This record gives sequence, structure tokens and C-alpha cells, in this order.
Amino acid sequence: MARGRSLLAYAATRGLLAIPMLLILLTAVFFILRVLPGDPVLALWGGREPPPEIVEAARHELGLDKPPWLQYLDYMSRVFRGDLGRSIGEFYRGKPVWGEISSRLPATVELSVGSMLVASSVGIVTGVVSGARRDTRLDVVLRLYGTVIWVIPIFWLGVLFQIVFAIWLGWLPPHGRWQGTDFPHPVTGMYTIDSLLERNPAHFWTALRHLVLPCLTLGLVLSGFFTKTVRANMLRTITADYAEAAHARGVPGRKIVTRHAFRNALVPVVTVLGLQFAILFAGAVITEKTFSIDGIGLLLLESVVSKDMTMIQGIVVVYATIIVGVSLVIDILGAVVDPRIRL
Amino acid sequence: MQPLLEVRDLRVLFRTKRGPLRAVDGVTFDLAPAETMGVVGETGCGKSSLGKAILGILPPGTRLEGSILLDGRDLAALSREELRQVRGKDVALIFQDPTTRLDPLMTIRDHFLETILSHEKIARQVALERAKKALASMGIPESRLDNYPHEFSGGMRQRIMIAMALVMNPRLLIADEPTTSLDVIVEAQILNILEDLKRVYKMSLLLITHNLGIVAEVCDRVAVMYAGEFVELGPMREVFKHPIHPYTRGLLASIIHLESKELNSIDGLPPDLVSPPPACRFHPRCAYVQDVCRTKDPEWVEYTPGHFAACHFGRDFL
Repeated sequence: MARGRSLLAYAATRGLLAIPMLLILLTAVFFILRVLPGDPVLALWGGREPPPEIVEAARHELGLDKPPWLQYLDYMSRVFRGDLGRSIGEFYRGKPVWGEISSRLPATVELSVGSMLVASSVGIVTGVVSGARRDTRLDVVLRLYGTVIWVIPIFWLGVLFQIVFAIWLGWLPPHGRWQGTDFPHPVTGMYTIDSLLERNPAHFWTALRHLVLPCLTLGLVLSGFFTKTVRANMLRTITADYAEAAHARGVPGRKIVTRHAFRNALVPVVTVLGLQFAILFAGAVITEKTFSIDGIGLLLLESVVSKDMTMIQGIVVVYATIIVGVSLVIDILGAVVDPRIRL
Repeated sequence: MQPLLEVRDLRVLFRTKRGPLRAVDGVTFDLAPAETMGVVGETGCGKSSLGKAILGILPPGTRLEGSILLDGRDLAALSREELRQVRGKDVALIFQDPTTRLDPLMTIRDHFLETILSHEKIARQVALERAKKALASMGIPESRLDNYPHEFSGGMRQRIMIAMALVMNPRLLIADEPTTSLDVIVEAQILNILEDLKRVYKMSLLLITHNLGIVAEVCDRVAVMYAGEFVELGPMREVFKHPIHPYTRGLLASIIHLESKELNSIDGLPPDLVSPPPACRFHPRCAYVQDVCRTKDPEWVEYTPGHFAACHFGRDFL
């Protein structure tokens, strides 16, 4: 029973710590965006020189004429009420930022989760095999895979997959999230989940087919990191003292690999999983562009082009919040796996 | 009495970049049931490799020659799976550093279940009862079964390791420096436990150590190992009172007593086992070295009943 309580206590402490983390992130987002060069009001005029009174009026409307600390307090209080402001860019002018983000978030979540599944499963399997078969031909091939796949640009691999699997072979759709107008009934906005909820296998199949290439692209690129980390950890744990001791107790070799070496090799991997999610989101921006997926990555690109400061701010806030949430979950996951973390 | 363990001309050759390393080089001895034999020697003399060779847990690529008969069955000739079934069941090993020998992610309960179920297909509940008994015999309450290794002290962890070694009721226990990483009080407890094993469980014990004090306390016989070879072997008292080999004399002289006025040590370092010195391996460090020691291998001679040594001038030291 002590086990459950210490885990709960750890989760609670870790959860409380997430609050100052989030505050610092929100503050950083605010100030970084304001010291960046470029005036959002001028950007609205597309490089032409607007009349000064119009600039004044626009500044007032956006609250940019107020002192920075007041702007900061305004921003913070609104973020906590869930109000991310309205867009000031040319594409979504006047529309609520959260509305635009929330309508695109499901696409990004679907892509990210799918890619992470691909990355971790491919990476862990290759890493374990590579580590357990050290210095064999297979190990050399897998080590090469880990390095090469990690340095391949996402857009290049994406385009390659589109050419091979969509155009040459015609197995999978080349881009987008859906075909036709018969969308699944929107509940979560994620087409795979929604089609499962309405128990429609045809819909699910369509959603899944559209996910395969983008998730494979982003997932494989990220898997290289897992291959290398898991392999390095396996080499350490497979010769660890407790593995030798298990050997001496007559535990079969296969169980030493799966039960002792593998589980211990995963602990450091779980710890860096949170960081991988941050890299994953950066990769998702490029993947969404490559596969024309209308997610928040694509929205971010558009907003940067039009200097839509509130939209950029809103997207970064959402990204930051998700990362804080994900690392919280992952840290708790780490504590479930490794009892020493709960101390 | 028929010996439990008969080791004949055992050799362990590690593969290294510089060529084969002869960690154990022609070791022969018997171990009777319920007998305790100590193997002493400096770090790197091959005593740990000897223990691991008997158990068959040498690293891959290591060559093993000679025979290891356990009740007449040659362990060196068994298949991997047959040997696995012997490990932990007929022969158990406890290690030097108990803090790193338990899997940090597994509870004590899971360690025990894993050990027992690797050897016997019995119900978990039955296995658990056995684990509880073994733990209790080491003075650890069954309420701690659900604890993780890091929640125990070093001494408790070593007692857990011993309990786990005993749970299958092996006939031979190999203890490789079982108390080296523990403090003196805990060391005394562990030694008491090892003595009990002999009396209560009628278990044979091969105690590998560099600590002559422990040998004096626990062992019936002692073997002195130098550079992969046994240089002296005999009843414990006999070897301590009448050491024959100059190396044994050196070891015994290096023990610090309350009355010691100065520290005695053997000059020089143990030899490189890839290219050991020719003939008598101890000759570069021996105070009594003669020409014959550099050219001719000393023979393994029984000087008094059961007391063997490998020295050209053994008679003179008697």
C-alpha cells in the first residue's frame, strides 16, 4: 500500500510544480514576441505607409498603446480565462484565436500521437534488437539506420513517400486528412476517433489511410533517436550486475533480456520522451505543410507570414501548455516504471 | 566420502585484443559434501573467474577447458539449457556487492518468484510460501516482500541474496567476496549465517575471498591462488600454521595484528595473465628465487596428508 501512496504523493507534487512552470512559459512567450522585430500594425498594411491616425487607432484597438506591464497583466488574466484574443492577421482578422486553434488541434493531435507511436515502437524494437545482438551484421545495419534516418529532412522523406506510395504504387492518398464530403460526425474532431465512435469501419479506414504516410514520415525520422538511445542503454543493462545475478539464479536468457535489460533500458528513454514531444511538434509543422494537413502547424506558418501576433502567441501558448501537460504525464509514467523516482 | 564437486585441470581463457588471457590455468580440487573451502588470492588472480566457471556464467567467447563434475555430472559438457537448470538450483552464487545485484525495478517478491519459477513449474502461491520461509530464515519479515531493493540496507540486501540462493536448496553455494562491501558488524552476521548453512543445510561452500580472517573463521580447507593457478591447498589450520609456498607465507605475514610493529607486504604486482612469467609464476616476486624457478614448472606435491603446494623448495619450508 505504501507503494500506491508514494506514487500519488509524487504525482501531486509534480502536478503542483507544473503551475509555476506554466507561468514562466506564458511570461516568456509574451516577452519574446514583443522583443521580436516587426510591427504587427504596419504588417497589416502590407509594407505600405499607413496614415499616422490610422496607426494610432489600430494600436489603441489592439491595446498596444498601453505600457508593457499592463499589457502583460491583461494578457495573463485573459489567458487564464481561456481567452487568447482575436486574430490581427490578414487571413483570420477579427476571429477568436482559440476558435481557429481548436478547430485545427484535432488534426495535429492525431498526427502527433500517430507519429509518436511509430517513432517509439520502431525505435524501441530496433534499439533492443541492436543492443541484444551487439556487433552482429544486424546491429551494424540498425546503427546505420538510426543515424541516417535521424538526419533525413522530414519534407524530403515525406515527398519521397508521396511519390512512391501515393503516385507510383497508388496505395495511399498523397495528402490531406479526408476524401469526399461524407465526414464522420464531429465529436472530438479526430477523424479516427470519431469514426470509431460512430462504429463506421469505412470511415475509420479512410481516416487511417490518410494518416499512414504523414505519421510514418515524422515517426521514422524521430525513431532514429530512440534506436540509438535504447541501444546504448541496452548495452549497459544487458551486462549490468543484476543481469549477471539473474543469470546466476538460472533465469533463462530470453527473460533476462526482456524483463531485466529491456525494462531498465527504458527508464532513461521515458525521461527524455517529454523532450521528444517538443521536437515532435516542431516536426509536425513541416509534416503538416508537406502533406497539406490543416493543423495548427499550418496555421502557425500562415500566422508567421502575416505577422499575426495574437495568433502566434495563442499557438505558442497552446503548444507550451500541451508540452507541460505531456511532460507531467511522462514524469508520472516514469515513476510508475521506476520506484526510485518516487522518493 | 564421495566428493560433491571434482574440478579437474580447469582452464578459463578470456578473449582479449592482446590474445587469450589465462584467468584460471589448470586448477584441480575436490569439495566434499558439507565442506567449506576458501579460495584466497589477490585481486585479479582468477578466483572470481573460478567461481563463475563452475556456474557457467562466463562472458560469451570465453573458452573453458577441463571438467567440473558435480555428483559425477560434468557441468562443462552440459548444453546451455541443461546448465541453466543447474544454476540457482544445484549450485548458487552470491556476489560481492549486493547493492547492484538486485534489479532496481523489481520487488523482492518478483525476484523470488522469478528464481523459483525458473526451475519449478509450481503455483505462485506455493512458490511464495517458500520465499517467505527463506526470507524469514534470514531474519527478514515477509511484510517486506513488496519492497524494492533500494528500500533495504546493504546488509539486508546481502541476506536477501543469500535467501534467494537458498530458496532452491542447492548443494553447493559459491560465495564471491560476500562481505567485502559490508561493514564489520554486518560482516560478522553474514559469516554466522554462512556457518549455519554448513550445519543446518549440509551445504558445501566455496568461499572466494582475499580476507584471510574470514577463511580462518569459516573454512575447513583453504586454497591459495596466484596468477590463475593454485599454489597451495590444505586443511585450514595446517596451511595457516605451516605454510609451504613463499606466496602463502607472504600473504600470512601481511596480516596486521595488534602486536604488529611494521606492515609486511609482498613486493611487486600480480603478473599479466596474457603473458605470465615462465616456469614458477611467482618467481619475479619471490624472495627465495633460484635458477630452477625461472626454467622449470614446480610440481604439485602432497607434503603432508591433504596439504599440497607447488614450489621447488617446498621441503625446505616444511
